[in-house]
Amino acid sequence: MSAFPKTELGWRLRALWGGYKLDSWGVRIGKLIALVIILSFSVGATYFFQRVFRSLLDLEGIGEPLLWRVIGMTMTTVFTMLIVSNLITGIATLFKSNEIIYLMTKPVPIKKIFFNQFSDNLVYSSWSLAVLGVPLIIAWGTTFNIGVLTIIGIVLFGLWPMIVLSAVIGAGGLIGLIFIARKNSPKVAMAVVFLIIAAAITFAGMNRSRQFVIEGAARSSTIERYVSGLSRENSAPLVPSTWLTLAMRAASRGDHNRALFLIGLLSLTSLVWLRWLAVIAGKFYYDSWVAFNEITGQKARGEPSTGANRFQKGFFPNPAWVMLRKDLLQFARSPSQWAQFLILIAFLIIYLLNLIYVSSRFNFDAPYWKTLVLFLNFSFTGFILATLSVRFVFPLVSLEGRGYWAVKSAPVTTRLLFLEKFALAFIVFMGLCELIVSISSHVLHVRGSMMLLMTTGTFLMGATLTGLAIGMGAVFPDFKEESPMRIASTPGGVLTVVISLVYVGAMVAMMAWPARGYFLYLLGRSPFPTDRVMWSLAAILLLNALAMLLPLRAGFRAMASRDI
Amino acid sequence: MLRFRTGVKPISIFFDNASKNYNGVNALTNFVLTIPPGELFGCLGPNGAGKTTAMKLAAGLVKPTAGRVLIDGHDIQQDPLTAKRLFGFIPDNPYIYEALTGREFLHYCAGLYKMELKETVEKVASLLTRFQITDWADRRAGQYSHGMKQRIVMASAFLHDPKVILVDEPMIGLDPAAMRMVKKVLRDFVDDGGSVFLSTHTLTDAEELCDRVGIIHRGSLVACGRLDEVRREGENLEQSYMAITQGENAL
Repeated sequence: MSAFPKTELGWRLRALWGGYKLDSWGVRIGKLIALVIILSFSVGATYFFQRVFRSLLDLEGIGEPLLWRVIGMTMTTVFTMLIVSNLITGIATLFKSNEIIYLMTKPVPIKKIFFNQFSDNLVYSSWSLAVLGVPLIIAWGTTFNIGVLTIIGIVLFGLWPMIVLSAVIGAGGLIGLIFIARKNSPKVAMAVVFLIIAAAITFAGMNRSRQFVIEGAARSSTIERYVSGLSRENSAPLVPSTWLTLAMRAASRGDHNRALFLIGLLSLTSLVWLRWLAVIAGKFYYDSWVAFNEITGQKARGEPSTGANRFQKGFFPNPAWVMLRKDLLQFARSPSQWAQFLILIAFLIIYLLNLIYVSSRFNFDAPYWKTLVLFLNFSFTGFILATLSVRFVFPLVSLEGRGYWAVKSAPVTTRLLFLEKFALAFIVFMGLCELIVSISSHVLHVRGSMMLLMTTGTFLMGATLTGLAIGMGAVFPDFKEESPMRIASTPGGVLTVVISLVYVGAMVAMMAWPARGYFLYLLGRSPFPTDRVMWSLAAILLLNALAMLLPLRAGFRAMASRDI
Repeated sequence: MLRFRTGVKPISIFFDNASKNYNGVNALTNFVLTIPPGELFGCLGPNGAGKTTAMKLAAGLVKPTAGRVLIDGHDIQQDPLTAKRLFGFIPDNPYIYEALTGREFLHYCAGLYKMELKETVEKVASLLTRFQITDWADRRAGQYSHGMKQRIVMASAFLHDPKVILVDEPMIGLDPAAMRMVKKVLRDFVDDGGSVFLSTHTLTDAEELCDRVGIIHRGSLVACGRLDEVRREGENLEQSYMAITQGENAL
């Protein structure tokens, strides 16, 4: 590492190496452990997907179409999430970064500056989803006995171009939105984003209703129609994620020519779009960067804005209260924060609408189906909670940022800071999750003990995931980063996602065990499972205590001893 | 208030053999310094000498590897809440939450010190006037220049009537009028019995403002005293500073 690097990538690697050399041994070991955990998660996820695929294939007739539907939906979700994620992180990376200000003063071509930031954005917004995408493809490969080279080919020329394409759409979209914002106003640009999302949701909804409408689960003709709906290949022929799914499907059938064609189509499309982005960036990136800074960095002139004294009016002489108000104000005044929150809420509403729609078409009165759907719903709630906690709660400590000196030099304990963050996140989460559970329980006609089980389970899960995210956020803070999305994408954030998902899986398993016994009891096949209930209860309490208190304690210690 | 063993002289800030080591690098070594009430002490030294580390040790932002720092007799590590009520801190980089207005930030800081609303409103208004930022107070900090942020941060340090002010490079980013105003504010504070521990690179500011100065070099206090004591005979402060920090050859 003695010679000066000649390329941008070389300098970046040098900076990474320099950062690593500055780390103490404790931090290095911590990073190593994080890496091992992430790798273990990938192995675990591969195993999990494999089990799911194999059990789906065991369902005669409906299994394989259902498997492809699951893969297709996962790929489309990943692709959509990648675009949204690129749009959000792109604001910080492509337009707000101090690095750009420095580079703009140097004789560096605009295109080079753009691609320097673009590659940063691509890595930040995509690598955590790649941790999930690669195991999915490996699991598919091992399930269908696909050769190693084909699997590598699908990852390199299928998954990777899809990731690049989403980054291109994100970056190109942002440049366009900034021009709209300059010509009209940021609100108009935001309205355009929501219109596009609404159009995409409507399109997806119309697409789904054509295929999923069935009027009764019992008749074989309707099941056949349902399966034939699932088997349809051209569900969204223009969406690149569909090409990847279709290529995998073709490879599974041994139709290598078609697989090669689809992968080629995906790779070529991403290359062409990348080339177009280079042209757009060369022509418009500098102007859009200037426009962005004009919009956001206007110096204070003229009359002050109205309502600026609200903080004062609601003021309460208590450090926790003012910290809470400060956090809420920061959130409310950060369009990228609440826009992301609204997008996630929109996804949640779609999910609930789907649940209402599906439950109106299916007969869920049979205990088996009811329990299955209930636990799937519980798992989904856990997944949403885990995602939200990492995205919104994990960055809370880091977001104190360079302003942390104000708290640290004031007579405020670290414990109080933690309590405030915990309370803020917990209240919002609880409201959201108990709402999902209440609506879904109502839709699925769940009453009595199961309703109590789900509500209590969600409450515990919300509290634990909040504590876990705050604790981990304090163990791995990044006080220099201002973008919450980028904070959530740091290795600490990814580690928190992994631990949170493992926790949710364990929680679902621990709750499913006594629930199964209970339903066998209801069916008169076994006595009331007192032992199972007791053991499961003890295990759940222990799991939640450990998963919440250990990270909180570690985070508290890390913050108390941290030099700033 | 802490007194020397003889019980004669009170001390506002006491660095008691404080040392700080960052990953094997000594930033400050056996630092001993006492600052009594009514004194403005200036800390000088080249980049990376340990001035900011000393400031952060006093503010409780970093933990000493050895030794301790007392603020008005209270150990900043052992009794942090009491010690922190006694000083106001002004960092070298005046970062404030950009989504808040200047006034909101001041109210936020007042809340951290559990100040009453009525008192806060009066105090904020008076400090905004004193630091000449009333016109900008209701705009978000994201729109402020460096100098405006600096003034808001300075105002926040005086909110709770501290006995001690810890200020790191206060003049950076200020226009000449603001510099004059800040010097007056600090001088008035000291004349009213407060203590100031100031770190600066600007020797002329130190000469103009400080009652005593100390020069930190490679983590150690290599010179300390009144200006006439630190200045060598026939030299100005700059010549003496250069000689101390870079050796006689530098001259």
